[in-house]
Amino acid sequence: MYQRGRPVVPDFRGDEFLYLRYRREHWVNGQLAPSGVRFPRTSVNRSGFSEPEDALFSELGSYNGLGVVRFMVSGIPPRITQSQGPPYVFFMRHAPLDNNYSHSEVWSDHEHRTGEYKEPSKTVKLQFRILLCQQIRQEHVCIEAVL
Amino acid sequence: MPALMLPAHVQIGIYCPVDLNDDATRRFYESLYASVESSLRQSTFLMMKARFAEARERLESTVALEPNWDTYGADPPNEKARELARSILASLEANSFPPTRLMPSVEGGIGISFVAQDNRADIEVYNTGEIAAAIYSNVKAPETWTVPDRSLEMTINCIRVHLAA
Repeated sequence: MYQRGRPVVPDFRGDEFLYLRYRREHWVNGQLAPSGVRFPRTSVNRSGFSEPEDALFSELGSYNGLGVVRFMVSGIPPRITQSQGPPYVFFMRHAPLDNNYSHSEVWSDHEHRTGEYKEPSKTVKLQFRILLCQQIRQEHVCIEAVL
Repeated sequence: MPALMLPAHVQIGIYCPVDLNDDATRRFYESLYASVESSLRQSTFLMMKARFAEARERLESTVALEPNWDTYGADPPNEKARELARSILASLEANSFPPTRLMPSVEGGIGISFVAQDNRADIEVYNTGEIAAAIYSNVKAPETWTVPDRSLEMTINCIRVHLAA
């Protein structure tokens, strides 16, 4: 779990899993609801360096009762277009924390890549979260939420 | 509705002696309870009322949420979002169209979800006062819009038509 001087690993394989905590109220008829997924900079743990239960690790027990779902890196919508405004692209960034080496974030940028985070419109963000949630069904629940 | 059998000693009228330890009396009240419960389940109107009551209860319970309630740093829904969500629930009720679930949104606001078989829809009310909506399914890519782009009435109608498809 702890970084302990390990470097950032920028490359993500398409079949690498990403682990996300969720609350029971956001599980609606067999699928995670978009209201349960934060965007931008969606925080997740990458499976290359962690197990599902690590997403619930907290010395203070802050995550007790929450659940963990998984989705693949390849399940992240790569690009969303909109009728007014530029297309957006979405990608992973490994962003280790001292107490969580696997911590990573889903980022977005304009298609022509400014190199900085670009905040999409509310509708693009909702569309992104819906497309992501469509990848998160019963078989993707690693630890079922009780809270 | 199952037939109710009154125990022989029960008097008809406002007052009657009831011995709750009496087997016949207990059976009578159990069957009465089962009958009322069954009627509630069979009543579309009462079920709809119950779903709206649940949604309103969930909405008002969001007052208790604190910053970082989702453990990923989300803001709790504010009063502006709750007020808008209340008015959306009122419009939905006027249309006899209960949501499947109302929940706080990790985006900061309130989420309202609708599900019918494989068809889904969402309305999100943000703390900024903005409202976004979407319809989608396994075979239909998400179609999203903001409520100024389509009126609330049109939004509810789009969702209703989509869910019925």
